[in-house]
Amino acid sequence: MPDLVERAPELGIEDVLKPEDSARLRDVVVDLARQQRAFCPVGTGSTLGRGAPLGPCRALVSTAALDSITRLDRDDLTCGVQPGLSVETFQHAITEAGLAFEPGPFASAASRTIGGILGEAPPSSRGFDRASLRSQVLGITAIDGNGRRFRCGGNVVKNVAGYDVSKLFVGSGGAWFVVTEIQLRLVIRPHACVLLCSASAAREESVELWRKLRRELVDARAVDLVFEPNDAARIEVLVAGSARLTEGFAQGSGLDVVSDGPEVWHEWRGDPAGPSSVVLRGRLDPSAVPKLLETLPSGCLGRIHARGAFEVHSRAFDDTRFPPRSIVRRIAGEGEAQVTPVADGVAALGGRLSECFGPLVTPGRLSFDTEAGA
Amino acid sequence: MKAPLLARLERMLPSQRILADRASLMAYECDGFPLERQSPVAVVFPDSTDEVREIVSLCNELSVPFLARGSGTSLSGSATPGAEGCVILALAGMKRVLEIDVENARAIVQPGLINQRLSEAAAPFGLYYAPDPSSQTACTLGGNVALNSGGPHCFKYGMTTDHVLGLTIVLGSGEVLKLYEGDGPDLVGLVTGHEGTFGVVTEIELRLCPAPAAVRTWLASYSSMDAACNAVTEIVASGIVPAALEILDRLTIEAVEASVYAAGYPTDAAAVLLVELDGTELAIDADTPEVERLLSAHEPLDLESTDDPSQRARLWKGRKGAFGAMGRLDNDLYVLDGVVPRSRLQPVLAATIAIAERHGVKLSNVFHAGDGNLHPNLSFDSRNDDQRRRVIAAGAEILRLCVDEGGSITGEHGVGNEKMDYMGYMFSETDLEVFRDIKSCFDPAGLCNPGKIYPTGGSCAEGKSAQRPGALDA
Repeated sequence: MPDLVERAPELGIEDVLKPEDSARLRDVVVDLARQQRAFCPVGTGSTLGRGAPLGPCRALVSTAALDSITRLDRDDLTCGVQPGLSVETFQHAITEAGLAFEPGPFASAASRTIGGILGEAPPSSRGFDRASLRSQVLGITAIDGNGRRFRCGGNVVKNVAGYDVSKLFVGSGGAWFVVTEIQLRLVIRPHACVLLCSASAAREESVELWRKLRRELVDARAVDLVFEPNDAARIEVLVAGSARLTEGFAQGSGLDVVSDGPEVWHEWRGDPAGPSSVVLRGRLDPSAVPKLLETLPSGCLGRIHARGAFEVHSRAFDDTRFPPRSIVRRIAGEGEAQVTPVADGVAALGGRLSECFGPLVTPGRLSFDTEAGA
Repeated sequence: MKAPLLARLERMLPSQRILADRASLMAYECDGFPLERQSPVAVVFPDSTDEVREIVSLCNELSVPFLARGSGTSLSGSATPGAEGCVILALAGMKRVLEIDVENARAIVQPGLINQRLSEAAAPFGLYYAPDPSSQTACTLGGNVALNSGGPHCFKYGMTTDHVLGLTIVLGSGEVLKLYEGDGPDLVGLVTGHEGTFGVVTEIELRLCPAPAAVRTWLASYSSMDAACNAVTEIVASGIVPAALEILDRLTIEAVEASVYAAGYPTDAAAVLLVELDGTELAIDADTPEVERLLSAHEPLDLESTDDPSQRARLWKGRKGAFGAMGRLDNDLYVLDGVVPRSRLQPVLAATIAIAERHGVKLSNVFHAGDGNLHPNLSFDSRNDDQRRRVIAAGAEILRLCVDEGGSITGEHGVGNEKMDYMGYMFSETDLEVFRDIKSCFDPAGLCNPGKIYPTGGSCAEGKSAQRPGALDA
């Protein structure tokens, strides 16, 4: 699909602004604020190009020129990056340094920016403990819709000075402020890695095995339930660390070795099954997966991660009933929309925060602003 | 205002759940940071979200500032009234475990529950709560959420924020919200670490971890601090992720060994390093040879390891009791909480010693070496004005140094009223303005735990207080 920048004319976008550095970016935002024009920050535009609502936005502000690694501290396992840095360039640079970004790599990463990935916050297989995406951002520098340039968090792995505003960036979809620099936590790239897989089986049978393995394999980096065609499923387990650990897992888990070697770390992306007309993303209680299976359409594909984050693809989800406490978003098929309604009080809080940051940065983007959230 | 306020409170709560006499209120003048005191006007003991909502609404109606308090173990003054006439909502009685969901590995608790009690409640199900502040036998989970508390095992398992899945919060405005981690911006993550300035958290949903099948702990003692720090650097660089990497310096070792927390640490060592691996036996056995090689490479005076729970408890007793043991060094203790990039640990430690010597104050160090989170501890007698001034000056200089080295003024204790005047050193006036604006979204009237995190008197310079230990010189 062409990216958002390419599709700008057909979407009614009047201006695509491409500031060359963060100072110019601020000038652009201040200018837009002065004109009271709503705008949407984009990297390559590949994420929003799936059909996210642009609402009243008639201008795009591209961060593509902000594409540097501003610092890389191998000793402290941290780095600073600009949002327009391509995920591919980022992965290459940290791999060269013997480092890794624990939640990645990500599906379809080649054409995407690190800012886009963090703003979108896709489900991540490697979501155990500190590996969730929200835990990797140590600090941000951003420009809000009022043109205020602000910073929160820091460069070090532990810091509780001030409010953790960076948590509002992860998953924001580019709402509220434009990020100009992101401080990230890194890990040492594992010396050894192995991808294990169960035999394909009926979905119910695989779900039982997944529930057992996600409790027992506490040293695994990922334990995914993967929906296959013909209503079958399998389990994929990623183990990384020392050679002794991966060899021990390979021999003792009872699962088949799919691939083995340090390169598996960045080659295995935990891709969802593939394109389909409707894509739902979200999170549900792992215990509720059997309930979900009862109503998922036959033939749907997808992947559920160990902590319950999921992405499922189908031609339609007309009869699907998500269990209580599930949070579901439709990200492709009929335009992005929140399926799970947001409570009124939370929506009101979101509205106040939007006002606080200046309501011109991608208004309508968040579920707080949608009809579903009203 | 006091009389009408008390009259209204007495209509809401039984009299035994209201304290307003001078003697009782003295116990609430400060928390674990004793250098700043302010008496509340009343202390109330709500028992439910509804009662908290009613009290907060009353405070709004009467424009009375208020704050929540758990066990009062905060080391930054977060639970000390930051203004005159505050009502304290003491949540220690709201201490129930409301639910343990074994399959989904989570618990719902009230904020007054003691940290360690949650792990005890989860233990029969093979689960536990990972964040473990040194005060975990006394501090509450509500306080942990307010301050985004850490602890020795944060190196592997992360801070409190990495374990909070949902919250019920009575906003400063009196509105009750349920927030869950999920799609979209992470409001739960924003609230965690709010230091009680957004509202009063009344229920917390927490992630539990599977109790590790095996745990192995090493104690390595070294003749120099550099050797201990180098061992840490090399373990981290190897890619091994220990559950904990903790260092105690000589003065701390001496204090511990002379106290009831004596753990058998060698008193001739300049530093002891605690390393812990946990997980499956397979994982621990896989990493053990490399850990032992790296610890041995720096010529330890002594190296012991154990898998035995009682022996491990002994090794940890000294670390967990270190702050208590420092009571032997002097009457009072000022615990700093600076963070530096791990690679800067050694020069910063050396510089803190020089700063302490220059100011003539007694300094001991116990710290989370894996995270670069220092706890320089300044022992003094607060009744001695000269000592007090010197301790404050030394503390300010040490925290400035941490920021100059690319670090932070606080890694896990929070800003509170202790460090709020240092915030201008880390953040610009615009940054602080954004923080203030965010607070106003939760607490429009500004009544919720005022006088914390950032100066409220305008610019940082205007917010300075000559008496406050955090006050900067210029």
